[in-house]
Amino acid sequence: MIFFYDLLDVCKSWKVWSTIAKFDIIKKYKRSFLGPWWITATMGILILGIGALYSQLFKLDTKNYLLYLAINFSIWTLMRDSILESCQALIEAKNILHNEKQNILIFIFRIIYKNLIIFLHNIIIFVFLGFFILDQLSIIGVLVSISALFFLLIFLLPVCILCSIINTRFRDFYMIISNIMQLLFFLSPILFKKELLFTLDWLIYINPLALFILIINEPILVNQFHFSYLIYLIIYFIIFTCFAILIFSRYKNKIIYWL
Amino acid sequence: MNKIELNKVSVIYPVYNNSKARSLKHALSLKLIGGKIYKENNKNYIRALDDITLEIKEGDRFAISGDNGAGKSTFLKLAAGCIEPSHGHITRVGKISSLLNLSMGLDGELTALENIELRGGMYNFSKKEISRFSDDVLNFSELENFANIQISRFSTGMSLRLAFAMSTYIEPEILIIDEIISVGDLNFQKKSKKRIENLMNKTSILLLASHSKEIQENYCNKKIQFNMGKLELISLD
Repeated sequence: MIFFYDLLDVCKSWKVWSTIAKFDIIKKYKRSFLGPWWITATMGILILGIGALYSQLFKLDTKNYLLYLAINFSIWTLMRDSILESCQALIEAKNILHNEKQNILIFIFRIIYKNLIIFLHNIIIFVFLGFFILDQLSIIGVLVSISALFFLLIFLLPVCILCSIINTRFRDFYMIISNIMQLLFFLSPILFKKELLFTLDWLIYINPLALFILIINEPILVNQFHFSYLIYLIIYFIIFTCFAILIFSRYKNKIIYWL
Repeated sequence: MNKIELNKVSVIYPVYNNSKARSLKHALSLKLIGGKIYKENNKNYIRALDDITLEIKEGDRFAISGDNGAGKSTFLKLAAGCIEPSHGHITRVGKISSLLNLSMGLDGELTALENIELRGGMYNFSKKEISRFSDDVLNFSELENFANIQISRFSTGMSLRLAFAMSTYIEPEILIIDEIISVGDLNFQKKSKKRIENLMNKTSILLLASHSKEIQENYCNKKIQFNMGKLELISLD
């Protein structure tokens, strides 16, 4: 009950977390020439650089591979940065939490919202490339991908809550998670196509981040949607949500003592 | 009806910094500045507040005193809702505003105006309310001409003016203040004193931590003395 009460409260205080997130981005790019467009520029340079080389290594069509990378990197950055930054979310808000009563979920929503803004800057590269490269675009595919993205944002909530609470108590957790994320990057079909996994395709099912990449990019790129991926993700979501509710309800009042 | 009720409340801080927690020098320094340190299951704890029972009701204006580390700040944080008790129970009824750290949330990278917008957002204000808030803060702090300047370029006094004006904008039902009555130069001190007095007069419950006897007598009608986490004395005037 405490969890749902706080969740409702944080939804009502949307101005609080959206303002903090907005200023997080303003601060980061303040006094730079391109401002937040550096996010888009950085992603563009990365995709062009990696795309040009890896399309040759994997013997793939460069144009389509660039498109593939653009969407995958955008999704991956959203997931990775939300999870990693959430580990530090409460520690960074220490000064506020020590001096004012605040719902701690505000700082989780702040991280996810901030990374959503960054994602929207990154995805511009994909939209731009898609405009020139994609022969045909299915509207249903786009809508399915957007719905999947929306599910990803909801999915990130319990994951980020868990990461933030656990890392506030056990400070080694961030290092463990950042290593796991690095490993998952190479195990997920971001740089390579999932078909290359052959008999190792079970690696996708045990990795919710890989499943999200596929349920978001496939409807747009190859007009496909695997319900089996969605079912696995719903199961993961239920598991993470149960753990998040349990940990949050049990330790909510203790978190301030760990800061 | 606004109130704060504490029933057998204790606040115990765990000490997590292992290397320091095990050092004798660190333990001694903690002992000297207050809070009872004890060991349980090979872990160190500080008992910042010990078994406090207190009822604070409308009209109460509490002066809170005690040596450094006696438990004043922990008590204020507890009353403000920043922390919950380790043992016992606390009930808070009323809109609480705490002035525990004026510079809280102030960001040197942002301009005065951006800081005001950020704080307005944290107060969950609408755009219109933020605009009113901004006018009031800039006008009161006399920083209109510096609105678009990064506050890292401000002097300490200017930053304090801004922080003070932002922190004292909301009129709460329960006001919690830690040592802050006035800030800035002589002229601004008078102005800030008047603003906070106005705020204190309007609030139905006041908790004011101060070492100054004059401040305690001027603004409060009850007094709590903390010593090593214990509430020692309640003297009524």
